[in-house]
Amino acid sequence: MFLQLSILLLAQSSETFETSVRPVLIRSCIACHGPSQQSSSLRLDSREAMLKGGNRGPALVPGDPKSSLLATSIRHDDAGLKMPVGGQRLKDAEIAAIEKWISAGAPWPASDAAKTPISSGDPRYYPKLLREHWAFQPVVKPRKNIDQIIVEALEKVKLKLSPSADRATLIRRLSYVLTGLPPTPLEVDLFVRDLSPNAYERVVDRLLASPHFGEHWARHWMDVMRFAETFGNDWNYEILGATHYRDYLIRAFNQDIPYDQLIREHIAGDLLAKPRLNLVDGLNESKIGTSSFRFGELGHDDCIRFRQIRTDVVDNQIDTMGKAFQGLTIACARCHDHKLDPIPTSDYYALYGVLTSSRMVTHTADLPDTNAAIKQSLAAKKPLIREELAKLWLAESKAIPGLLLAADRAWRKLAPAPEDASQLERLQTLLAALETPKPKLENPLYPWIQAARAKDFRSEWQSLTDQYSKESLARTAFNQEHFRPFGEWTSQTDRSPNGDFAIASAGPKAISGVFPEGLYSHALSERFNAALRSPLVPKNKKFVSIQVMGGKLGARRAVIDNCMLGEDYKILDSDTLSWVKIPNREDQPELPFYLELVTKSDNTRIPDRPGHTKASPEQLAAPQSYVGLARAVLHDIDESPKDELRHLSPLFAGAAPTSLPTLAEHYANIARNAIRAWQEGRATAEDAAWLSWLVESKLLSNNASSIRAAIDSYRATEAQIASPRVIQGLADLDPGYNFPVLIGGDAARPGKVTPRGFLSLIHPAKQVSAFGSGRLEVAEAIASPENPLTARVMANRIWQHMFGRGIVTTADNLGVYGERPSHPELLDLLASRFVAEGWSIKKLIREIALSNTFQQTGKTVPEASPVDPLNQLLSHYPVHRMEAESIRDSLLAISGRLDRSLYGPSIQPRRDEPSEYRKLYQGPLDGDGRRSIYIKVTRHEGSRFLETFDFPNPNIARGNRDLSNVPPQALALLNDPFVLDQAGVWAARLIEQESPSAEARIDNMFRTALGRLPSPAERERFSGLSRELASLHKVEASKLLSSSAVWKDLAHAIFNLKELIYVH
Amino acid sequence: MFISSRRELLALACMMTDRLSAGPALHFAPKVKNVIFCFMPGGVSHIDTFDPKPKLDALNGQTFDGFYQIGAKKETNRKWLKSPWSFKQHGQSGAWVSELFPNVAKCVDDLAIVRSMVSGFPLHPRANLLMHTGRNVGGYPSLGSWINYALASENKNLPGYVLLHGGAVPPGGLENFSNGFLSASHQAMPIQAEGKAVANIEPADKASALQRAKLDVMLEQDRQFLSTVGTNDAIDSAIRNYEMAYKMQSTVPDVLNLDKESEATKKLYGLDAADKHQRLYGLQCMRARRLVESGVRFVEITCPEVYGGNNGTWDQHGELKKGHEGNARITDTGVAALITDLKARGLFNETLVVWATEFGRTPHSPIADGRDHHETAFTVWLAGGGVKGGMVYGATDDVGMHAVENVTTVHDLHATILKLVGLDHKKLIYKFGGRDVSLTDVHGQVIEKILS
Repeated sequence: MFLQLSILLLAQSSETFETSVRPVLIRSCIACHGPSQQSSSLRLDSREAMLKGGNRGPALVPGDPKSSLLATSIRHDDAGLKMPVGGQRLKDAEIAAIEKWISAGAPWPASDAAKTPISSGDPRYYPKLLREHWAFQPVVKPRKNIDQIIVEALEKVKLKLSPSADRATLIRRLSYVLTGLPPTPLEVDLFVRDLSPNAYERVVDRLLASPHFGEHWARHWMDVMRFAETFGNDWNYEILGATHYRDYLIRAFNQDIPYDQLIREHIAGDLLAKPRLNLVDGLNESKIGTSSFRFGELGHDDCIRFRQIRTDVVDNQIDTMGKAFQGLTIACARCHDHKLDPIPTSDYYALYGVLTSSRMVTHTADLPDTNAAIKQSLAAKKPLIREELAKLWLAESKAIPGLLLAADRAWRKLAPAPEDASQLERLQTLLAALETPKPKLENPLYPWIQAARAKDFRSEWQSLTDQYSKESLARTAFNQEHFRPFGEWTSQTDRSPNGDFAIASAGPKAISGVFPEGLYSHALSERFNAALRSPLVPKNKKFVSIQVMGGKLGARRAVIDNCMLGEDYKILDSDTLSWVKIPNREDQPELPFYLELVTKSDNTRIPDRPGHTKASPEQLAAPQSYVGLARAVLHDIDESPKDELRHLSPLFAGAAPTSLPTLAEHYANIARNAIRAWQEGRATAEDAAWLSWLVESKLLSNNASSIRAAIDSYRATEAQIASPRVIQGLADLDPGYNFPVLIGGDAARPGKVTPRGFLSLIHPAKQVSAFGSGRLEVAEAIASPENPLTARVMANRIWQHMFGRGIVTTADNLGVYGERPSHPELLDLLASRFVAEGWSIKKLIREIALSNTFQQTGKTVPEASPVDPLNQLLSHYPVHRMEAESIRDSLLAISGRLDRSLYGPSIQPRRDEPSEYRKLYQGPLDGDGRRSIYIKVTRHEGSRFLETFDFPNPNIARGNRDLSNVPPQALALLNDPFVLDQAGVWAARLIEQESPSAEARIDNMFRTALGRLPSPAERERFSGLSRELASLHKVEASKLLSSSAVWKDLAHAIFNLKELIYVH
Repeated sequence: MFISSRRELLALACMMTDRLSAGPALHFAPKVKNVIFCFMPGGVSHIDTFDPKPKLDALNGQTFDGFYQIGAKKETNRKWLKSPWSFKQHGQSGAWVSELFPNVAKCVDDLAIVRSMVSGFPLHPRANLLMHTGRNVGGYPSLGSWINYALASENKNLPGYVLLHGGAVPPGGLENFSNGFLSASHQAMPIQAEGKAVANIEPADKASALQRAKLDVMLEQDRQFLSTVGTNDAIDSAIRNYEMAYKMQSTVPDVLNLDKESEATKKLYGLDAADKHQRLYGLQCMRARRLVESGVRFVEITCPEVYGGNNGTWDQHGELKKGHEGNARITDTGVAALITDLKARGLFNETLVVWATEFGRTPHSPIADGRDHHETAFTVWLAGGGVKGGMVYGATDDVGMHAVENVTTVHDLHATILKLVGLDHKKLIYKFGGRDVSLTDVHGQVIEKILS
């Protein structure tokens, strides 16, 4: 290594230094005082470094060997500093040479500074890179077009562009490059016959406008975003809503959404002042962009013992973002300053802070006005139901005293059971309540029971009055002393006032409850999804208590350190409120901790893994789910708030009842007051509590036939609610916090806290605003036309997808370790055109497609091979194998099986061994004829056919795929059941179409599969094969045309042609 | 210090040499040509197999008051648990093996038993990925892929990396055997124990004349296409691949065909065993020998999933006795037969057999018949060319909690395996995503002391 260094330098340096000094330094000093190690913080590989010195001060005083530690230490003058450590003393001649050199002023070859690779740690390294590395310099638009730049480079080696390819070849190339599908025979014919001067241009425009363009180019981008639909690890949880992101991309590429907008949406789509609204599909498109952060592997992420898992998640986000948008390997700076690019570790943790300050949450992508009409209609129907119920209840309230007294008599076993069935049911409910061994003080029936059981009603009532008064004060005082409200929760659910209620979604019950003020996802319907999220739990409190309800797989979760698949989670199963006490995570004082109440569709763990959250397929599929939150409090005391007794104070107000019958009237009056208040929309929490109790204890009915029609109509409206489209994304709900540098990348070794921010190489002094994560600022910094990397990276990707190879071949790395651009001017031209044309991807593609460079024939140029064997100069179009998806899609298109519809749920790949446990389900052999972009990307095991042709692993951003060439690909095309199946489908279609002759059919097959007619020799070759196959299959000549065996084999042979799978 | 220096050297080397990354080439004289990796998924209990802990007999039933946590919360109520199996010394070396492995015990003089292994996370997928790819996250090439990348198959008509499995894929999935970012040709070809052994290998055309007729026309047509394009290496080799694929259709079934194996050999591998899983495992072991004999570089044998409840068959949180005994019965004959057979055929010295698991099991437990994941101590063994037989390397403390002597990481194991096939783990690098990536990352030291 250093031998190379010395050889390199020897050639051009002063002789003494090079022959007598540098070799000694290299042999004896540099190992400990060089780029790899800096013992005592000292380096001896440059004059500047020697002058700067180390812990003991400067190593070199030019002209004065006696004062130079370099000299005294090797002379072993000072017993405390004998160099080299542990080695032999240098030879006298060597020492003398160094002293002589120092005496002469320590001249160092001037060329060295430029030649020596200054490595990181040297303060000059990063500034030098920023000055010199091509990709960090501003884009300079050349005054040339694409062809001029290509031709100039070719002319330097006496080459030129090749002539244009023929039309059939051109339209086939264009179709694959733009849409990933073969042209139809009709499309080919129209183009070949079109003599107008702009025929080619019109084909380009037609294909750019094809909906399949978006599918093809979305998939390119999904490689970069390491798109996946399951989280991998032990249980392979579904990444809910991943398909919405895929469809979002297809729409975005088809609509040619400017790339800078896509960047903003990917990084901060949830924070945009003007989100991009899709009124046709009712979606907030911008929000969906943030899904891109959520496709990394996930599992066991809440196990705080394994902090590294969480840092791996963020690392994967940083890595993806860095490679995708900036072509930089930012993640290299996780453990140490980037060795090659100017990215200090502090930049990495500045970004880490940005990402970890954002919560990983579900977003509902629907526009707020989705279901708006239905909501309106429901909101209009609800007061009518309230009015009907109130009238009914007011009427029923007259019967309350009678019912109470009847129940009392029944309890005393004094009266026969009534014959009226509904009366009986009510009585039994009351009786059961009366017989409750230990009713709670807050139960309105408690005073009744006590009074009824007492010997002396009056004195008992007096003592109850005292007891309640005392206890009520005590409870209120206790609650005031120990609890404080826990902030504003975030949710898309409107806040319900006291007395709000929910209509039961099914069954005989009319309503499912009357609530105190709070957030109830089912206040309008159980079909609306919700995620109620607390602020971060302050670390100075020991507990949080929440008063919650929920059902139909609604759940509560405690989220530590943004862990999405955490174990601290419970399904709620109660339609009445109760307190839940949750200990704060004091064991993890530095980690963010918050609570969440989620309906089924917003629960990352549903469908859950085997053995957890048992739910039938019907329960999983049902559109209903709900959660409700009345109150949330923080406290140190190890118990939740006590239920207050305020609602019972009317019982003890006014004139005291003197007997059970007067008490019964008292109850009825209170009920009437509550009903009236409710009817008039001025119910209090206490009224709500009474109504709840009255309905629950069947003193008021909840299934009357008189309101049936209103309830049915309400439910019919509810049934029209569209299911929510929920995606995984990021959200800024917190102030944002800065993260410490993790020393050596080790989560257990936090170092200096780093302010949140973006790469210093792009924004030297820029920090983000104090509130929120800072993602929006990061997005703006990337999406800026001033950013030297952004446009270059994307322009290069576009070129790469059109030619099979980028101008920079390392598409995800434009840094120092990446390849240099083959045509730097061209890259700058494309980048500047890209920005100038409003970051339009389609316009850039169009410009490239219209160049002569793109339209050249793919035939190799003999003169080129000695000077440019890899065709980097593009003396002809680079013929390359198609990507996996295009191969599979082509077979479907050719066979006629292709389903050209866009979007929708993904199709499971075909598997040898499905595994329910790992959520690897079986899929249809032909993928239902859908394009490959719709085949589900399942971690652990994807589509074998696609992976054989280098479909990428979805864990790491991958901007350039392999186009490998291996025997299993031949085996797949020869023997994979999918290929055979499609050959059969094609053969059946051909036979159905009837052909006058085998030759005519072969012509048809060539046109469909290869976009051209066969030459006479080819026609004869394949009709010969058809005859040979017929004889092997023992098919008579007269039956040849209708033999499915023969034509399936012939179709299969054509599927296996190289011409079919190469873009040429 | 060492770590950062090596990285810098690499970085600098690349800058100096015009960014040429080290390509595949032998770095040392190889000791072996092939590797057979017997992987025991789920976590084999070290203290019940190769690492006896008499002190646990004394502690049995007493409260374990150390820290243990897998889920979100710390676990309590754990007790020390002794091994339900007895240990004996075997062979001239006198190495201890429990009664679980009576046949492997007979081979101890050929084994280098490493008792001081440690892993990263006590979680199956991550530990499996670490054992296979040197990383605890997905996306990286596996050990077999690296070796195949560096050395290629000795036999052009067979893949260089084969996975012999019993139907179950260990946690971490096929990622464990994936080529990561290396070319697709370096991924493992899976061969199932039962049913259709290999996907796409059986010719779709039942009559070979049919396939030949098609192939001949395809070849002619492809050559013509190539001539219209001029010269194109990719197309040229794609054409050649068809000939190789054609041959593989017969060479792969040939190597799996056991007709020519003697009855005695079949018996040796337990192909006559009463237990179906034992027979199938023995079959895979025998196939492993045939594959390395035919030049396949790296063969991995995994276990059928019989006892582990989807997380690897050795994952006995409960029913330790039943599960470990069952797994031991299924694998003991086959693994021992492999060693015996390789020796008998003179292949032992050119083959490396590695027996490994992803982590060990706890010497303490909340129940009396089960053990949990334990990453701070476990046992693996190596046997074959270049390996010192009959030795025990490293040690755990007296209760099997921690490796304390010659602590050996998975990266060390990988470095050692690479060295035996002639590769330097520091030099076997592949340039991907802007950095030099290696199997062992910046870690790993060859376990020199177990090498002969």
